[in-house]
Amino acid sequence: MTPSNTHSEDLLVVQDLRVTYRGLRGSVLAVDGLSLSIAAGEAVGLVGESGSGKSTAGLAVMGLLPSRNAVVTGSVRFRGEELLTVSPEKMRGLRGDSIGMVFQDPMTSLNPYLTVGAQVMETPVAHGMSKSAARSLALNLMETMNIPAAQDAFHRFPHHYSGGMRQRAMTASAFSGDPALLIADEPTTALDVITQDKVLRLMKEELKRRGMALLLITHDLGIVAGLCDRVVVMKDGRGVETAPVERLFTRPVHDYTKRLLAAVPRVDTPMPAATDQPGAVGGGPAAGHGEKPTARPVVEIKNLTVEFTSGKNVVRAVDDVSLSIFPGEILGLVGESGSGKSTLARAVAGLITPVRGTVEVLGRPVRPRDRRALKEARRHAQLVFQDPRGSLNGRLPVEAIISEPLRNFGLARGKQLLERTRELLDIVRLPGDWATRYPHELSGGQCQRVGIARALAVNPDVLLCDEPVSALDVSIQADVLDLLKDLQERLALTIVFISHDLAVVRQFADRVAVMCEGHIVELKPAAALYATAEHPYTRDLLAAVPIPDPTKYRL
Amino acid sequence: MSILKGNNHVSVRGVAPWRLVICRLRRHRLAMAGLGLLVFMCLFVLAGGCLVDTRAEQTRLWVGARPPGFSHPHCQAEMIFEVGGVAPLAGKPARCERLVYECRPVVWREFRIVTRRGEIQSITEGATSLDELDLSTLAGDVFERLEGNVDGRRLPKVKLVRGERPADGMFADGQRVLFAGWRETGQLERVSVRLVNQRVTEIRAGVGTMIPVNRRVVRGHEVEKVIGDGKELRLTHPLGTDELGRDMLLRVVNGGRVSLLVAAVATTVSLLVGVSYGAVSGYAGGATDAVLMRVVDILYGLPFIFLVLVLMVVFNRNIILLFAALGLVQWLTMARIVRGHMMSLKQQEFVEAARMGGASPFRVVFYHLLPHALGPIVVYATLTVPVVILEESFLAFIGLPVQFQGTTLDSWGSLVHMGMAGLGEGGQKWWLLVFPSLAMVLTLFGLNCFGDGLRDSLDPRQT
Repeated sequence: MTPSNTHSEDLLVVQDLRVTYRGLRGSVLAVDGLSLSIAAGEAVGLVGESGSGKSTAGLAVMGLLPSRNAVVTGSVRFRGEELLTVSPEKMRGLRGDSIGMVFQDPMTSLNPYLTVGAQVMETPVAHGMSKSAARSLALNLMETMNIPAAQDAFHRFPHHYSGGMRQRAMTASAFSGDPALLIADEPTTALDVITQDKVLRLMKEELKRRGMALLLITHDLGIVAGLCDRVVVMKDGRGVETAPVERLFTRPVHDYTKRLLAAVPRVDTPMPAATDQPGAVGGGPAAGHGEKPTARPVVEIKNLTVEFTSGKNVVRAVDDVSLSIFPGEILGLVGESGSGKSTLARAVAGLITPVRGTVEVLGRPVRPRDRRALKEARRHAQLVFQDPRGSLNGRLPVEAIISEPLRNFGLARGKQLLERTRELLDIVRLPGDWATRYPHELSGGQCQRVGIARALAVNPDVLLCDEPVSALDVSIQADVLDLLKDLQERLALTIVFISHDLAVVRQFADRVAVMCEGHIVELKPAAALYATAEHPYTRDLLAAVPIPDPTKYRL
Repeated sequence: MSILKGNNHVSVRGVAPWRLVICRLRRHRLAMAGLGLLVFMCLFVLAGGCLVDTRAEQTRLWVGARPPGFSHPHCQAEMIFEVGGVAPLAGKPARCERLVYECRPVVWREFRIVTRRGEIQSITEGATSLDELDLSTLAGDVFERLEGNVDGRRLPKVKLVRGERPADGMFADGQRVLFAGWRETGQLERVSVRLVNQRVTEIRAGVGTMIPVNRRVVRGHEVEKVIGDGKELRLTHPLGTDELGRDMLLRVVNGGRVSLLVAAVATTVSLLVGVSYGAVSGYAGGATDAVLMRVVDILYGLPFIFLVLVLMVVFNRNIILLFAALGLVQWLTMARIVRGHMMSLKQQEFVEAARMGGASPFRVVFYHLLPHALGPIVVYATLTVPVVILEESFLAFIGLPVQFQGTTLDSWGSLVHMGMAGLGEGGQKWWLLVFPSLAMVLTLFGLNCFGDGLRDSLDPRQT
């Protein structure tokens, strides 16, 4: 990219930033000549997929990279002062006071042994403010960030806070030094849509009021559209395109930006082809999917209640849910985290024992205590997991992972086993000779394909997909969704698709069930749900989804 | 089926995680140094005995504790050669056809001193009576002679005159005492023995012209030189000898075998029992876990030394029992460590995936989960070995060395114990303590370095 014009009033100027990580197998160039500038009060988005080097760039600007493993070259100037060569004492002075940072994970970036209030007032105290002044400032900030009962919350510990509250506290702590620049690294990725919307709105308001500049590092183009003035798109450590936000979303120049924008599922575009060609979906058994399914359901859930006990607390994760899933359909299951959607899937798979109610797969009840019946049920209903890497045993090669169910169910052995493994790899569009690779050598998308191949090994009728794409980048997400759709048609699968991403579900599912606090609050064909949502919760959910278009979505 | 075997697919063959571990381990200099040291110590313990003649472990009282590098002629305490009889030899000299012993016989001078009423009444040497006896000019020390030709206390160097009182405290009043002074004669004597198939066919003895004799006694402490088939036969002691003249190198090697064996067996017991116990407990959770872990808590409560002492007193100091006792104590910590790891591991998604894939609980625990806990298991095992060696040493040190079929076995611990006892006031006999300690320290150092490096290599964040 062309070096940006370095105006004298620019707050932060990054020029030709290069970061090299030294590893066991040689060095990795994580950031390769990135240049960007941020004017005072400007919000700049740094977007890119995982591994593009955006987080590393953010850490390099703050001087937070371990000097032992990372070599940083180039120039980072803040108010004309070079940060890469500045003394550690000076840098500490700048951090918090002039540059604030909000990290991705609100769970781990707060110290669990200190009260939240103490952590919010830490920065001003470290920069010489008196304790009482810092306390009132921190309280004030926490109130501004809409933390309920701030007086009381001040003295509470991070584990008393919900995820959204924690992130708000983190933001409050970043604001506490009244910095000129805020670097936010995926600030809302760990949050639910509705919470995300709230946090972002608060953040935006506060930035505007203080005239603070923002460097927003994110993979979510929707958030960028809503929050930023200018966008830098990163790929493989390079900034491939820099443009004002309106231009980027209307007339992207670089191929990569175009592809990225095209891959993002949206809730605002006209309904995709799914409703136009319903026949394509029911490729398997003649299934009357759509509004009035007439066939016998493959999965029948009746009055299912699941409870978790921790100490004396009883949490009802799924509360009296009844649901029928019909052959050949794709049922979307959406809701915030903690709404019980994953628990429901696990109860269907027999991994969790329900308190009440029954689950029947192909007319046979699933009883977790009856091992034989359970094994039989699992031959017909399989699960695809959320974490592509965590769901694969890292010590085993791909072939062992895929052939594990074949072996355990006694479906194949010897030569047959190898053939079937290869066939499965072929089905999920992975080269057959990757069988000897290990999960750590595969990308997230490839890992998820292996996970799907494993689930398909027993030729199941129902595939329960628990957030199968939420851990993947947008472009890979599209590939995996495409694969799932293709498999559903070719193998006559019934798919239960769980996701917190309403845009993905809209694009993918035939029917959508919305879950909230263990209940199904709305169940409708996809087109109908997105057009005429009835339940207020569904409406809130839909309204909070960021749309990658600054003309339609602006915070 | 070229997925597995085809050579043309080498380029895409996956790299197993354990290969990466080995790769990282190879780059870990300290760990490799530790491993080298460990291998060296194992080789030393296994093959170190070849460095010296195995007969060097025999007791040779007259040699006593000698410093490293000391060499002395190979001979036994007392050998009786008789023409036509079997030569009382072992090992190499038995294969010789001609042996020559150069001896410097020690002559006993025996004095008889009679005291009465506090005064010396008579002094006699053999049949001749003396008027006075100058003990201070005698070449060797003079000892009190007790019954059965046993040396008693050493007597002061004084002059005894008939009719005078002996020095204070020299004799009990009215006692008649026999003394003996001894010293070497200057003349070398030779004994030449001819052997055929270990049988003595001819013996010649004497100075100058060798006279054939039928029977000859050769005493070990008199021998200056042994020549077998023209070659001088000597025993060298690179690490010196102990107070009974036994070679220290052999003792350290034998002690190492016992120490390492105890360590290996106890660690294996701790691995087998502790890992399966902890894995089952951690994976099962709930009531099963609670019961299993309470058993561990109770066993933890028993004092280890007390347990071992009771076992040893009741069942004698059998080596098998020591293995059992040490292993039974060590597995407790291992079980806790593995349980902890299992509890966090079982919450990962791949466990649910394995269950979905129809894997039995046994398979989930031992095939899917255990390999992930391998890191801490291996590291703790390498740390167990030194602990066991030290515990065995401690037992030996407090006087409970390992026994096997009634004989006490050396171990590094017992050698250090003996070394400390026989060190001497100014530490003159330092080699008795230094070499067993050094062997132990080197082994433990190597193990700790290796274990540390292994832990680093098994940690994926380490680069």
